[in-house]
Amino acid sequence: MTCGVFKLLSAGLRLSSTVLLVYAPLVETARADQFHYNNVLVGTRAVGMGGAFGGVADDASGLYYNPGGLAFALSNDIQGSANAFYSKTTTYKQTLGTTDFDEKSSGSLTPFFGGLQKLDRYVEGMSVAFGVFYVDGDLKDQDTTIEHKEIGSTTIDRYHRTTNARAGTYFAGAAVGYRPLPNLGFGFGLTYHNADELVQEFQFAKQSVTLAGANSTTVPGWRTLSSNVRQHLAVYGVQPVFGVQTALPLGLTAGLTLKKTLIATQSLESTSENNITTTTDAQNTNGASTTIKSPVANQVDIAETKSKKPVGSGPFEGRLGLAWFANTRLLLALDIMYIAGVSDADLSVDPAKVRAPYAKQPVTNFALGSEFFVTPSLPLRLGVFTNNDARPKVATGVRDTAAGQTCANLDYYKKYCAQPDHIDYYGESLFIAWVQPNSQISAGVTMQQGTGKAQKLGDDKVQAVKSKQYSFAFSATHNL
Amino acid sequence: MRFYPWRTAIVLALCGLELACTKAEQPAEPIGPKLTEQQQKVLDDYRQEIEVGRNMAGRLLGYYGVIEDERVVGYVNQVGTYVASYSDAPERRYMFAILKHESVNAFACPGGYILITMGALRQAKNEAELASVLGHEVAHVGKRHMYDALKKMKEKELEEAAKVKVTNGPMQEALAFRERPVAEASSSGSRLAEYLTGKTGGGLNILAAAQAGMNLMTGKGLDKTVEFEADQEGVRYAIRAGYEPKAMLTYLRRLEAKSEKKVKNLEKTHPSMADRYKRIVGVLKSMNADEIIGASGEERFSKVKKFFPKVDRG
Repeated sequence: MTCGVFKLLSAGLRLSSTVLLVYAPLVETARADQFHYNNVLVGTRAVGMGGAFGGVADDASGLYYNPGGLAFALSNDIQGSANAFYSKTTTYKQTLGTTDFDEKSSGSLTPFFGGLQKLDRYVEGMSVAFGVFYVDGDLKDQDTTIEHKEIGSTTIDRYHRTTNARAGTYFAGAAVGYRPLPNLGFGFGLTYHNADELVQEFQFAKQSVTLAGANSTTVPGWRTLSSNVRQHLAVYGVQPVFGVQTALPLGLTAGLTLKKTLIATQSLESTSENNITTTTDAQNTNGASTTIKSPVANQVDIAETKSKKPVGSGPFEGRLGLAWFANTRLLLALDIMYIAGVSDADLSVDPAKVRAPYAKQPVTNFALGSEFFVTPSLPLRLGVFTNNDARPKVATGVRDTAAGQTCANLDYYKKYCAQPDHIDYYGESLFIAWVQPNSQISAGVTMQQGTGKAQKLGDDKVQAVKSKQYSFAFSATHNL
Repeated sequence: MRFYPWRTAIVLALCGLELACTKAEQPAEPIGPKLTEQQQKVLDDYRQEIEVGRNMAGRLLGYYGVIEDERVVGYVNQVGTYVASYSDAPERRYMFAILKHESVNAFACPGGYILITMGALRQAKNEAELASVLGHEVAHVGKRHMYDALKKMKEKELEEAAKVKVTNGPMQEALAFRERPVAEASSSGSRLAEYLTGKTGGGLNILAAAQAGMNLMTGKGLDKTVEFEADQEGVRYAIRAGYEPKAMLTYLRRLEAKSEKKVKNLEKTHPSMADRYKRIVGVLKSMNADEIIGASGEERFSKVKKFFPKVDRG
């Protein structure tokens, strides 16, 4: 993307900001959003509690939240959940002149399926669990057309963008929890990890231009820009997770979970073809105007990128969970999660080699949840949580052409141009369940609102971003 | 994958239609002679008793664990069923299981589910003593002691009794604070179950009753009067079945002589050995037991005793 910009600029063609949009696919295209760690919450009770489950974790989802909690399970269980429907809209404010630009995705996915088996018969205080879970999933099928739009001093006759993307981050594994003492449990788990993203995007733009003609005249013409991008990222690895949980007086519990994603193989393959054609009308010798399309310039850029280390090493994660079992009806929980940054992502994925697209900064998230039994069969679960962005904050530069402070300047470009999005989310979850003696079903909604900044056009202009996502989910648990 | 609301609604509607058709296919009335209202009430009451008992037995089995050696379990079932056939309620079905615990105890759950601990089994010297113990439990079931006690409880009492948590050691005690409320089998859930199965539900909160029953049995036990009655009837059944009349006396004497906690705990849920002994002597006297010759079943018992498993718990 940025390589194309520099090439075109160096060729002397003054491109409008709209032209740079053509190269936007590689700025911030549809991804499984590996930069947010709380996109999908897993577990029947945990999802309603905003994911604040590290101090509880006494069911099959303990594999994910804290294997040490498995040792405190009251019964065997098997559970599954599904996001029946989710929708996400990210609005980049005033991106195309005064027009907002939306990115949308929707679909359904199954965040979690798992089971827990107590082994007290063989070893008192031991339990095992297995689980399959998605922590992220995205499905995009977007078609955007804008016609006859003025953007700055430029008129866009037509802009058309189609994006098809599917992405998901998936884990499957097992864990064991053991209580050597009545109030202390340890657990260890190992999960297989796979992140896969496939993006196919096509953009086309046509703008009217005025070109210099013969004898100091100007000639009307138009320019077309087209871009075709295909990008596939695949990451495979394992994630060992270690957890400890202890029961304290007065119904309090505390849990600590540590995990590290170990990546076995990773690859990114990206192919793009970009074409810029400038065409003008020509007059015949009789003076009659005849539309003869004569290309006066035609530029094709083909770029292929392959990387064997696009995302670098997997991050380290720590979770501290606290819970208070106030009485049989009320449970309150708080989780603090820290995910370390990743600095060894491959820089060569960026053709300009300015910033590695998959580099991550450390992130801290919080979750606060509650479970209250309105009646013995009707618990209400509420949660609030943060879902912060692992990309750096967008810095705003002050353009000064006279001083060479433009995106054509590499130093300026590195700091202030074509930066990735940064969107921090705040989420709420509300679930209600119907509990029977050996089973429960629950349904509810999770909503996240995000604000942030972006540079969608690949230059130094900063757009405000608002994003909303919500999902309707239901889950079921059966105690065995 | 896209979400198709209309397609989903159609599929769900079709499922509902299928369910309704299935229900419509079921006979509106049970096959057989039509029962009077009173008879139906009795039948429903027995069904409820079995539900409560099954639930209670399940909890106890889960709590203690179960012995699975068919040689031992089969033998206990053989003796128990034989004694039960000489009880005052031989038409009932009696099922026996052995709990994986060394404490001395036995539990008679409503509906005929009788559980005896490995410890109680190990204290017996012969088959006649085992038959007396099992006869005692059969009497509890036949006379519906536990079930009647639960039915007499008011709803609130039942809920309170169900809340009491009896734990099996510090490991389980440590989990007690994580318990959530005992979910009632809801009336709408019962109606749904009734609709789907064509069976009528009971009036008692089955689960609360089962939990309360378990707490009662492992906590303070049943009233002394019914314990004495069970002793008396159990002895009668065993004698009728041809066993040595004084077997229960020798069993209780042996327990009384032991000082171990696992034996002494029996007196938490039963009257004192001395009282029980005295009353059984009175019953035997009234039956002229000295003139009755009964079998001890020592030979068979000692053959099966070789298969008694070791138990680490209790």
